[in-house]
Amino acid sequence: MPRFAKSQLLLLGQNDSLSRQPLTHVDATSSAASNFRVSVEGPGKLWCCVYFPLLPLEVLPGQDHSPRAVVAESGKRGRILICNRAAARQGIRPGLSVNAAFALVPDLEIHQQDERLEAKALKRLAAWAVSFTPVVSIDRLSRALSMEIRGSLKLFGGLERLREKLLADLKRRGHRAVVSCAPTARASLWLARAGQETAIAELQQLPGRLAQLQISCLDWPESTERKLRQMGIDTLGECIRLPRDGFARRIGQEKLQQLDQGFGRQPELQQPFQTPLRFDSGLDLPAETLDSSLLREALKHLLLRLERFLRMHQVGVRRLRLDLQHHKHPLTPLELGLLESRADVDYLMELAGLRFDALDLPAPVNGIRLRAEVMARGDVVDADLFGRQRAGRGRQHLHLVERLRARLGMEGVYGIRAVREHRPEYAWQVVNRLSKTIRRNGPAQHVGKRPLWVLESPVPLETVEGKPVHGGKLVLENGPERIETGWWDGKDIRRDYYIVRSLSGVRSWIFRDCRHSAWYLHGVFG
Amino acid sequence: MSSKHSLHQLLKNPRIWKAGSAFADNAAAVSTGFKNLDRALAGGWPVGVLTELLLDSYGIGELKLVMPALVHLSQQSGEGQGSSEPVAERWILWISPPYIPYAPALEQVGMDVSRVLVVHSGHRVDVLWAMEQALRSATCAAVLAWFQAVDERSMRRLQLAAEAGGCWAVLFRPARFIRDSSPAALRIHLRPDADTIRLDIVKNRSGRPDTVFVDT
Repeated sequence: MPRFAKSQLLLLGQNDSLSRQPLTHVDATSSAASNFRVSVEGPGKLWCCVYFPLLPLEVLPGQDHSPRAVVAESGKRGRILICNRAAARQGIRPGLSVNAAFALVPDLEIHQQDERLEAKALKRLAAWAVSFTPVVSIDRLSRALSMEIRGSLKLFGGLERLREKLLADLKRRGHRAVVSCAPTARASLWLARAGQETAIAELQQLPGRLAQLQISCLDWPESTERKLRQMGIDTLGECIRLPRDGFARRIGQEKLQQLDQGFGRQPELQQPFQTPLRFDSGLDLPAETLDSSLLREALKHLLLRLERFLRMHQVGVRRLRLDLQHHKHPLTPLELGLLESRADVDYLMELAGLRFDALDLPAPVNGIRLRAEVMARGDVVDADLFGRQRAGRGRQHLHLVERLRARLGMEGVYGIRAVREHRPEYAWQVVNRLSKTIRRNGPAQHVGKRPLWVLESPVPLETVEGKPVHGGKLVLENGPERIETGWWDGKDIRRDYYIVRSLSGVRSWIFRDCRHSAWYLHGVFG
Repeated sequence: MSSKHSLHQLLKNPRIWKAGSAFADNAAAVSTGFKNLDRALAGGWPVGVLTELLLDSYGIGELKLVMPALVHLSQQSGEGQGSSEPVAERWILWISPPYIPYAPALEQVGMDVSRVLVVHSGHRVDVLWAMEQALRSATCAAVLAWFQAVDERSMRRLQLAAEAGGCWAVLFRPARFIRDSSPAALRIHLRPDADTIRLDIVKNRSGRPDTVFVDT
């Protein structure tokens, strides 16, 4: 029997909506609802598994009226993985070979399973699921989402209500799901796979309730399952009673670990789903305009949308992209970068306004599109009860940088840093990420006297009678200091540095390149 | 009695310049690091006003002149000491410097280089704007700027911004502007003189014009 439990097969034959019906308990929905009476307060985690048994069908394009079936992409080739209700009515069953299926229903639509589409759909569903709880993880192979919902129960008015809302939302999205809850994520998945729409609230109840489940809900390879059945093992309860070392040897350590995790004897690892939040919103202007006050008004509107979005997701934004659209003209892009993620519109508006001032529009604007490309999660927006931004004293110095960069551009504002390196031009670096506290170097390394000013690149000096001149004759004050290093990366230097003083009193740092015997100005002492 | 009292009140006004009596304790001043200069400037570089240093060519020692004060300011943690708030970092801002400040040399003299922020722009208007923003933001311990021509109106704006932000603002300008009137509170003409720098204090709001030789 391929991947599905018997109960689900039964269900495929039924005409009722899958999402509303408990899969095994054929009796009323009310009994399923009563299964979800769980006290809101409770210790430990409560995992809710939302399992999508029909996902391979649901992601297919087109209508679902005619008989259709999906063939597995990997593994059981040539076998029906899943079929829709119309096909099931005509006798198609998962596990049937394709030839047999065609013999039964000649006009059956056979589709290849598309795991890529399934993964995309699951990601979309996970992005939806974060509106219920921040802890969501995707189990792609099982086509399920695991959500930790203990903390959300109070907000949604209890598990029953939460489940109703989940199912209603899913129905609108065109998905049918099985929802089960248990204190461990794996156990909730087993329950859902077994079609048990129920909630196990306490860890103590877990062994008793899981014991009755068929081993098919584990979704282990067919060979493993067959081996267990040959041993006379049909349920999880029997499985867990087997001697541990023997089980590990015959079935595998990994499988034993899965069982332990499901029964709550071992901690489980969940890969949390990180919402790839993207904000993309556009606004068409009623008329083409060059008026910056109108543009600001439109931008303000978009930023207010962004603010709502950010508050909803408890995130801030670090990079904004603004596209000004023109008629018959390539759009004007504007980039706004922030040093730390933020979510207050007034500040963003101020920064954007600075960019607007410096802007030279090539043509009238007929539309604005705002995209926030990088979202930082976990940076909770710093606001008090009344939504006012707390003036973080430690942050204000970063605001200055952001404001300056908004007008002068990223490359116009930078910090500097000393690097432990003997070659003078590599002994300093530009620092662009100014939000990070820069680790201070230890005591300055012992080198000769260095000038406070340095030139971006050494400037060749003229020579008179073999002596370098720069605004007149130069008087030697100190030197030479030989710097000869850097052979390892091909940028090796061999220079003699001198401190000289010009007639106008300017003290500079010059060197003679020993290989070309040429003189260069490299720094000014200031 | 009351008239004497009101005269005292009047004399406390910092805008009144009393010839001959230098402010012995200019609280809002950063020590220059040179004793004779500190004396001439009544305590040190005045903070919260504009200081103009006029010189013919860059590199005659003007950086060494301001360096002791810069080093001191860079090592200072912000004003937030004692409170639970994180201590505000304050920048040492360099606006359109003629060359790049060389980080190893700054470390050699003891400056905390992580406080250094360099601003460049090709447009004069942007440079003025950046300086005003920086002065007003009150997040800079010192703002050093290198301009060529600045009209008097802009200078006055900068002076007002410096008063608002309360930071040490230094403007380096070519010496040919010495004849122009300027709202800066302190104007000094720098000239190299053998191994020293000759400082002609042309205008000093909290003291009198003077000439000082500083051995850097």
